[in-house]
Amino acid sequence: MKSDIRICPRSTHDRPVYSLTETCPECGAETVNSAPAPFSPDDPSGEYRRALKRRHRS
Amino acid sequence: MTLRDPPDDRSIASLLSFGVVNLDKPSGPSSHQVSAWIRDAVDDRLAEAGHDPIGRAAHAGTLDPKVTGCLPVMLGDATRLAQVFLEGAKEYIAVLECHGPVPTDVESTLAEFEGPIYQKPPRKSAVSRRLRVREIYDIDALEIEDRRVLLRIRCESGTYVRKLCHDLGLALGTGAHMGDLRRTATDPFDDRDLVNATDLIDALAFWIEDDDTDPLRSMVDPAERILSDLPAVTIAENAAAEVANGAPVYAPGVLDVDGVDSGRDGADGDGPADTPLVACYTPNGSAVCLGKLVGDPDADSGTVVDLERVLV
Amino acid sequence: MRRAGSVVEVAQGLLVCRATDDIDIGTPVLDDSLTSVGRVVDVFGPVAEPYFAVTPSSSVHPPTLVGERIYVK
Ligand SMILES: [Zn+2]
Repeated sequence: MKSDIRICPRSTHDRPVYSLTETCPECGAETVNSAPAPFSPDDPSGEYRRALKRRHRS
Repeated sequence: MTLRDPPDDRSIASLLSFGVVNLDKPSGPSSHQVSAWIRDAVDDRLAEAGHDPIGRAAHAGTLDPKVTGCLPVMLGDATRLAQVFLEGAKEYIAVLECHGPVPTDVESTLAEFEGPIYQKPPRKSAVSRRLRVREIYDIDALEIEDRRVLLRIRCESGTYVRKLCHDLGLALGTGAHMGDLRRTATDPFDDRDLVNATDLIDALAFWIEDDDTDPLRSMVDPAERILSDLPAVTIAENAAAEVANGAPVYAPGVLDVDGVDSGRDGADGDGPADTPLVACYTPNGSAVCLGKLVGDPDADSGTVVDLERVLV
Repeated sequence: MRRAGSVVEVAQGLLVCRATDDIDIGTPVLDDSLTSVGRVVDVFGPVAEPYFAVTPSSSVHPPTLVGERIYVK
């Protein structure tokens, strides 16, 4: 789901920074969609997603 | 009756049975659906590990299906704390979609709406549609485009943001409606540590499949977090045992009181301001009950805290 | 008859007025020539100086009323 409310992906701000534009008004980073990934209890890609996360962590 | 371990020392099963997740609500499902899905996922994993189910989960302050953001989900016995969220302030980021170019004096119109405002509940709302007053603590235009304003609104619980946007549109003279909406805080939770639902599902899997509890511990907080803005009353272990049996907290059982305005200790009237909501803890920091401060904690005898909800 | 406020805007088919005195939803309102202007459908905004919205009667031409005073019986 794409929201008109965009968010700066950097965690350096005291609070998350929101914008209607492609650029963070405070740090200039490219903003991203603020809406979290869709979620459903079926979660067909769950195993695959967790395999990726495990590889990323180890 | 068993009192819980200190919040930081709990087993995963204990954490899940009295925990809270600062969820970033996804767009689409209702708030109720999301909390039910989380309850089911937690109960499935608890069953795999041979533990009792939590049975219940509840969300704080319903968000409409399309709305994203801060939706604390209370697990198990933490659902008894839902009333705490009824009093806390809320914060939103909203897109105000004006039906014409944004007037140059938009800031002064927004400023007029800070403070107590009249608001008629919308037609589809569950509450009585009598005109009511809600307080807007802060309203800022973060960005202004041709016909859109990105608003940050900090307001009293129970404010209808969609209606506020409609009313702002009338006051601006352009007409307006609310576009996308995201809740960025419901006190004492905010958007600094939101948890994605998929990440929570994965953390539950890593606990069971990999015996890795770190991801889950980073996402599920002890329910005491819900109480962090309330005055705290520390009571003796034996007083906590009495509370578990339904008794109020009596003065001799009180060890310490923190966060109550001095001079307001104890009841000198019967107005709600004189009986603030407080949380009672054992000396190890574990919450025992939610109650109303009705008496002087420094007295030698008498009731100090009347029970609202027993948590053990 | 007493003065209730004046028309400040026309938006979304409504007369948007600023209240100078108490006003209730449902109240019929008049202009200074005692002609019916419409009926109050909403009261909103700052408690100290609220706005109210009036659905205009079919006989009135809303844009001409901006700046005009509004009365109640
Ligand atoms: Zn930034």
